[in-house]
Amino acid sequence: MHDANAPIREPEIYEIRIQGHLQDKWSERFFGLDLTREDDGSTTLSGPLPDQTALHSILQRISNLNLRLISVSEIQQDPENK
Amino acid sequence: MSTTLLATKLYIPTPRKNLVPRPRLIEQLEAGQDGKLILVSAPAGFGKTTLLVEWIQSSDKLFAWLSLDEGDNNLKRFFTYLIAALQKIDVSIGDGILPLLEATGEPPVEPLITTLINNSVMIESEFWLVLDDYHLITNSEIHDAISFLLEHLPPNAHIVISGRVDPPITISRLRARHQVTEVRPNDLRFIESECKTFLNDLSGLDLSVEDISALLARTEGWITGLQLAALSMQGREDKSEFVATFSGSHHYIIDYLIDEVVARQSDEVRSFLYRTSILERFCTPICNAVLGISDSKRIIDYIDEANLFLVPLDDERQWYRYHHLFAEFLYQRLMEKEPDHVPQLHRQASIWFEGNGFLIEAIDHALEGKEFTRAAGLVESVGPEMMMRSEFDQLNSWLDAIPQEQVNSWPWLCIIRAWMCQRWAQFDEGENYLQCAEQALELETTPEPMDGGEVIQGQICALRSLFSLSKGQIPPAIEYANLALDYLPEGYFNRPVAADALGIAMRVSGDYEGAVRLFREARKDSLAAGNRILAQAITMEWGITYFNQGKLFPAADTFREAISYTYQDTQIKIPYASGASVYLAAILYEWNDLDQSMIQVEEGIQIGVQAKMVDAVAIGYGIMVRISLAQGDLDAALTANEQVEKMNIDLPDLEHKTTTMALDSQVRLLIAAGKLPEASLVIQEHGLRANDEILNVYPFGHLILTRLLIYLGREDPQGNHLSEANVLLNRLKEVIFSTGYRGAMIELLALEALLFDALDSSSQAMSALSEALSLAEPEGYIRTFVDEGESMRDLLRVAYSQGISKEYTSSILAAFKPHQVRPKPTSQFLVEPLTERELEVLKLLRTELTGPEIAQELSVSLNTLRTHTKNIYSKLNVTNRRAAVHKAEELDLF
Repeated sequence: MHDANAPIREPEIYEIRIQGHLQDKWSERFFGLDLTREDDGSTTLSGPLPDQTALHSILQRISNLNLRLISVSEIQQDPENK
Repeated sequence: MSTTLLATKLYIPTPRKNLVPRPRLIEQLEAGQDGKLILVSAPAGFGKTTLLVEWIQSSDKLFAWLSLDEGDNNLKRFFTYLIAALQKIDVSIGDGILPLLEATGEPPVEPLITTLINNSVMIESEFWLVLDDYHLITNSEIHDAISFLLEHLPPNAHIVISGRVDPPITISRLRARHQVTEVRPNDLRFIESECKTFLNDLSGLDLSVEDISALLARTEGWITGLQLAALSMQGREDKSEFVATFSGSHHYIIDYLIDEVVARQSDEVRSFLYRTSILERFCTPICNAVLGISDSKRIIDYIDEANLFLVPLDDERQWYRYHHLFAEFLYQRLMEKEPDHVPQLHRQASIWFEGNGFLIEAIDHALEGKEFTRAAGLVESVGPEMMMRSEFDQLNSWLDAIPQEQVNSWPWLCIIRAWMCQRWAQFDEGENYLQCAEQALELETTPEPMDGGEVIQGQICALRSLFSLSKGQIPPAIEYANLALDYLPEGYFNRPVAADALGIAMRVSGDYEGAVRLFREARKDSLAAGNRILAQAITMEWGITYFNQGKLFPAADTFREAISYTYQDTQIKIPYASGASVYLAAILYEWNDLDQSMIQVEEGIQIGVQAKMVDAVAIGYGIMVRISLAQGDLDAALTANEQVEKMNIDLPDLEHKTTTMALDSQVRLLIAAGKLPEASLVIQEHGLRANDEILNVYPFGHLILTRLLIYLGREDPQGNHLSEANVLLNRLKEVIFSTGYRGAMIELLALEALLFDALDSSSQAMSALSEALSLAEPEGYIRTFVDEGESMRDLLRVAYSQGISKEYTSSILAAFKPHQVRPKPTSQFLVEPLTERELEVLKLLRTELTGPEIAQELSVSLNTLRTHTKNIYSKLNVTNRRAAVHKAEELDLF
C-alpha cells in the first residue's frame, strides 16, 4: 500500500561504466539497463533505477562477476522536461 | 527434517587435481596464524576456497569448516551449523548450547556466544574455524554475533572469514592489535610463474612466454579467466592465434570464453550442464530424475574429468555443485534457450527432493517452478511439525511466496498465519485467517486430515480464545479455550497454550482457584512435552494469579520458581525470567526490602532487554522509579522514568497493564516532586477520566487518578477535587471489592483513609485505615502505606496509639525512618536550611544532656550555644527544645 503522504520520487537515472564489452543478454541481469559498448573497450549501463537498493545490487553483481568498475554517476534530469 | 543438517556444508572440500602450488600465499596465511582473524576477500573465481583447502592440507592445525548459504541468515540455523562444524573438532562443544537452539523462539545471543566461548576454551588444541562464502550472510544480528565472538575469542581459537566482499563486522580494534591477516585480490591473482605452471605444466598447453604474458595481462591474473582460456585451447592447433584474438578483444572474459568452452562439448553434455544448473547441489539420481535420463553418472564423471568447474561436496563424490560463477552463467543460458522447460525441471527436482526426504529443497523448487499448489501442499504437511519447533521465519518466507488465495485454501497455512497474527497483535486479520481455515477444512481439494480435523479445530479454538482474551472478552475466551482443550489430544504440543489461556481468562473473571488448578495442569503437560519456555510462562501467570489476589508469599515463591527455569542442561535463564523477576521485585519492594528489590529488578530488566520482553522491561523501570524514590534518590528515579517514557513512545503496542503500571510510577514521581499540574496532564494524556466506566478486568488506573485528586484537594481544599475523589473512590470500591484484588483493595482503603483525613473526618479515616491494616497484615504490606507519605504516617501514629494492629503498625512506622518519600526535606521544607554546626547542636538537643553539658561537648560558651539554639528554633518555627527535636524528626534531619 502506498502512503499517500509520502513524496513520490522520480526514478533516478544512473550511468555505470565498466571495463570490457558485455553482450546484450546481460541487460536482463542488470535491472534492464541499456547496454552500450564504447569504442574505448568499456561498456556503459544506463537507465532508470527504482532506488539506491537496486543500484547497490547492481554494483554487487558487477563485483561478483569480477568486472572492473570504472565510474558510477547519477544523471540529473532536466526539471523542465519531466 | 529441517533439523537434519546437511553434512555437505561442513565438508572441507578436497583439493582439485593438478593444483598450482602457492607457497607465497601459504606463507602469508602461516604468518597470520597467531592472530585472531584471517580475512580472504575477493570476487568469485580468485581461488579463495582452493587456497584455504591447500593451506588446510599442508597444516597440522585443527580446522572446522562451514560453507554458508542464503538459508543461513537465521540466527538459530547459523549457530546450529556453526556448532555442528565445531563438533567435528570436539564433540562436546555443543553441550549447554544446543538446548538453546532447540528451544522455541529466538535464541538469546549473548549467553549463546558466552557459552560457546567457554566451551571453546575446553578444546585444548589450537583450532581454526573457517566460514566460507560469508558474503551470503546479510542478517546484521549474525554480523554482531561474529563481532562479539571475535572480540572475546579465547587464545586457542581463530577464525577465517572468506567471501566476495569485506564482511560488515567491526574489526578495527583487532586490526589495531595486529590480529588480522588479509588476503585480497591482488594477492590472489596468478603471477607470471604461477600462470606458466598452470598453462604449460598442468594443462600441457606448451605456450610461448609471450602468449603466457598476453593471457596474464588480458585476464589480470584472474584464475577462472585463465581456467576458461585453458579449456578453450585444449586440443587447438592455433593456440597463438587464439591468444592474439582473445587478447585483442574487449569482450568480457566470461562472455568470450564460456560459450567457447561450452560449445566444444557434445550436445548431450551441453544440455546436461544447462539443465542441471537449476540445482544448488546434485547427485546422480536427482540428475536422472530431473533430466529423465539414466546415465547421469557417466556425464558427471566426464564433467569432473574435464575440469568443468565441478565442486565435489563429500568424500564419496555423491553430491556436487558447480562453481557459482559457472552455475550462474549456465542458468542464464538455460533461461535464454529453453525458458518454457524451466518450470518442468524445478517440478521434477521438487518431486525428487520430496521423495528423498529433503522437504525444504522440495518446497524451494516447487516455489521456483511456480508450482504453488504443490508448494502449499508440502508446507501444509510440514507446517505442524515446524510450528512445534517455532520455525516461523522459514514458514513465513514460504507463505509470503505463495499467492494469497492458495494460502487461504489450506487449513494449516491459515493457522500458521493466524499464529503469526497472534504474535504481532493483528487480531482481526487473525480471525479472517481462522474463517479461511474453517472454509478450507470443507474443501474437497485439500486432503482430509487423518483425525477428521480435530487438531485443526483445536488450533482454531485456541487462537479464538487468545484473540478474545487480548480484547478483554472473557466469556468467549473461556468458551473457546474449553473447546480447544476438548479438540486437542492429551500431550499435543500446544495444548498447554489453550490451558494457559483458559487459566488467564478464569483469573480475570475472578475464579482464582480454577485458574491455579489449570496452571498446575498446564505446566505439568508442557514440562512433559519438553517445553520449558511454555512451562515458565505458565508459572509466571500462576504467580500473577497469587499476586493479584494479594497473596504475596505464595506469589514470591512462584515467581522464584519461574526465575529458576533454565534451558535444559544449561545455566541460561529463559526469557520469561524477566517478567517473573520484575514481579518478584515488586513484592520485595512492597515488603520494603529495597536493596534486594533493586537487584531483582535490574536482573529482570537485563534479561528482558536481551530477550526483547518489552513489557517486563517497562514494568521493571516503573518499579525502579519507585525503589529510587523510596531510597530518596530523585536523580535515579528521574533516569528510570525517562526509560519508561521513552518505551511508551517507541513501543505503542505495550500492554494496557504495562502502561498503567508505568503511569502509576510516573505520577508518584511527579507527586513526590510536588509537580501536581504535570501529574494531571500525564493522566489526561493517558486518557484516564474520573467519569469513565471502570473495567473490572483491570481497575488499577483509576487508583492513580484518585490519589492525585486527593493530593490536589489537600492543596486546594475549597475546590471540588476532594468531592470528585470521593465519588470516584466509591465507584472504584465497588468494582475492586468484586474482583478480589487484595493489593488494590488495600491501596484503595489507604486512599480512603487519606481522603477522610483531608475532609477532617478522623473517625471514618481510622475505620478505613483499620480495615486496610487488617487486610494487609497477613501478607506484610509496607510500602503501600509508607508511600502515601506524612499524612499516612500521622494516621498510623494515631492508629498505633489507639492500639490498632499495634505490632504491625509499628513495623510500618519503622519503615518511614531511614528514607523519606518526600524530596530532600532540608532544601524543600526549610526556608533557610540548618548549618552543619546547627545540625550538630540539634543532634545533642535530642540527647539527655543539659545546656551547659552540650556547650562543653561542643567546646563553646553557653552564650554561643544559646545563639545556635535560637537560630534553630526560628528556622524550625518552634519555641522549645522538645518541639525542635520532634520537628527535626519529622523532617528527617537526623
